[in-house]
Amino acid sequence: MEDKFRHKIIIDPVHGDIGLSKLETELIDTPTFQRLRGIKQLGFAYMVYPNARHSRFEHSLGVMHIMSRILESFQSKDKNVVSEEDFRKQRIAALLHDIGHYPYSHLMEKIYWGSEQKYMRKKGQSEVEDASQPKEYPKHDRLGEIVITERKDIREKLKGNDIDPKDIVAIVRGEHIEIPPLLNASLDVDRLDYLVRDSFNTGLPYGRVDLNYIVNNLELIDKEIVVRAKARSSIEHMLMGRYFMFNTVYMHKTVFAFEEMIRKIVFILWEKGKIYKSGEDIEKMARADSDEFLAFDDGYLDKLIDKHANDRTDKTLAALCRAVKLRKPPKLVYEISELTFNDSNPSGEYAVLRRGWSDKVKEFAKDANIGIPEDRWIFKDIKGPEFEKVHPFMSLAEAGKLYDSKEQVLRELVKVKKRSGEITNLLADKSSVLHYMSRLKPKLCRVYVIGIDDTKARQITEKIDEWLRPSELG
Amino acid sequence: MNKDHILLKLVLDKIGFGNLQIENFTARKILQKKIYLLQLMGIDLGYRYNWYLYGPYCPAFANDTFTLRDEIRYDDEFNNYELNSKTNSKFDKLNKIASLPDTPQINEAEWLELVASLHYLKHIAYWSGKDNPEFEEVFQKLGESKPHLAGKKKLAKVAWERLDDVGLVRKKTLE
Repeated sequence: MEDKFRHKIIIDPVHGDIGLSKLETELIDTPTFQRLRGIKQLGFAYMVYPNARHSRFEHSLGVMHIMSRILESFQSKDKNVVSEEDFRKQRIAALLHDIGHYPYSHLMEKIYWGSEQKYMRKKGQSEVEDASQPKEYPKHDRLGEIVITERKDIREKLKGNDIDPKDIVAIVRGEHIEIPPLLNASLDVDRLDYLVRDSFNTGLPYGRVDLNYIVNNLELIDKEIVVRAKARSSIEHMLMGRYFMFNTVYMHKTVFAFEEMIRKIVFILWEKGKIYKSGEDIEKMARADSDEFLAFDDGYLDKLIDKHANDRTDKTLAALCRAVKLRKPPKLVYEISELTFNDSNPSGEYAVLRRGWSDKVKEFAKDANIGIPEDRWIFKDIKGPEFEKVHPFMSLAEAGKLYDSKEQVLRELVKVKKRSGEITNLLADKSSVLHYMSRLKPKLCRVYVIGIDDTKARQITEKIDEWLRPSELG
Repeated sequence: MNKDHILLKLVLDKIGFGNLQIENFTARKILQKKIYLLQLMGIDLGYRYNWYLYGPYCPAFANDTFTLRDEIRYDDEFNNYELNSKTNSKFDKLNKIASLPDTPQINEAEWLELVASLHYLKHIAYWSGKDNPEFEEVFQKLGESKPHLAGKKKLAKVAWERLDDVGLVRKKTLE
């Protein structure tokens, strides 16, 4: 590592020493960057994996470190492939890539706005005048753009070091036409850090990939990251590991349940005007040179949950908040989990559940033996992780041959450089397990109920079973 | 079916891709660019496009088309909905810029790529020193990134004028 990146060293349990330049040290020391210490990387996963409390702060450092290692790896093969200036900017972009994250990462950002109602209606209903609707919350990358270009502490540090903040934003968002988009590539640096870091902090082994070997075998060809064939197994391991991490952490039934409960809480708070009502309010808050944005971390939501756990004016909100505080997640009463090939139909049960749930839940609410109101049910059709992003309309042979094409969707696949120098998409290699796994599509449907005991949960499971599989039950 | 997928299906029906027959590269390219341009008309589907290497391109939209293709095989809830009249009227503006000029020098996919790229380079893409560029600078950047369009300056000018006519040179979006 060059001396200019050894102005300060931070010890990281995942990567070891992480070196920082003087500017990077100053950026990290800004109150705006320090806010990331208060945003957990994995949201509510700590409810299942108690040590999963690592924050976006150390993740951002980790991403910067991996970016740097990869760029050094490129330069070791061709010194001119990345200029010193671009090297510097890529590191800073990696450091700041998550600076706009919301409390509990993605949970608050994705309130259901119903914005599609502006554009469509149910058949037979008359047209209604556009009710004025508050502007949606900006996505975290848009918020990040505001933070980098308009918050005084970050902006002035960058400009004071001859870096245009817009340059950094463009790199983060993949909008820079001169600098390769390594933050969002097929082997992106973000994923490489979070897999390893999440694995470390949850205690699960699935994300422990051979990062060093992968990084040392990457090349930059035609602005794209390509991995040498000898590191193919490491890449396959990484992609498989990601799949297992999704199933055991990111979509763990209890983690997911808590997250859905939080989404309900956030929506109720929003309806009642207890949190920022519009995206404009959020953007204004992020821009202002005040401490309000600095307090916009997990603690912002934690305090609201604490406060409303005893809310006598809203029993539903109070019950939800108490359930979070006392670790009483919604009960999973039914789940269908399948792996099918891309062009296969899902099972009959899956189709019936998906299609019929909105009517069935009304029935259950009225059923004397169940009698649980609709707002206490959670139904989710969850998009599972794929091993590789494969276009379902292409044959693998096609996808393998089309490396040279300008087809953007193929640019997202992992590319391998063989000893011959030929570059192909990983999944086209019939000796790779990914060749077969990439055509599998996970399907996952879950039904949860809030505030019931195990006996009631079993009763409901039986009722759903009767509905979906009557012939099996006789 | 999620409401956003229902909306997407209705929009795809309107632009002729409702059955999601996108088995070839050309169809996929046309679809990506049409949705990019449609969002500029004020139908915000929430898709953010990047330049990546040969943009504008939206990975999330590509994923949603895959998911939707699956979903419509066993869920037909979208049949209970329709676009409202205000939304329908926005497709007329889309047609003003998307309709192919009467010339054999360019096909539909390339034309849409040209229009979308010019707009993206003008308003969204970044390069060092960019400062509200006009046509000449935008076209130069286009040619550097996409050599297959570098020889189509006259057509690019037509595309630029069409964008200008609907207000998309002065403004990034119409709403």
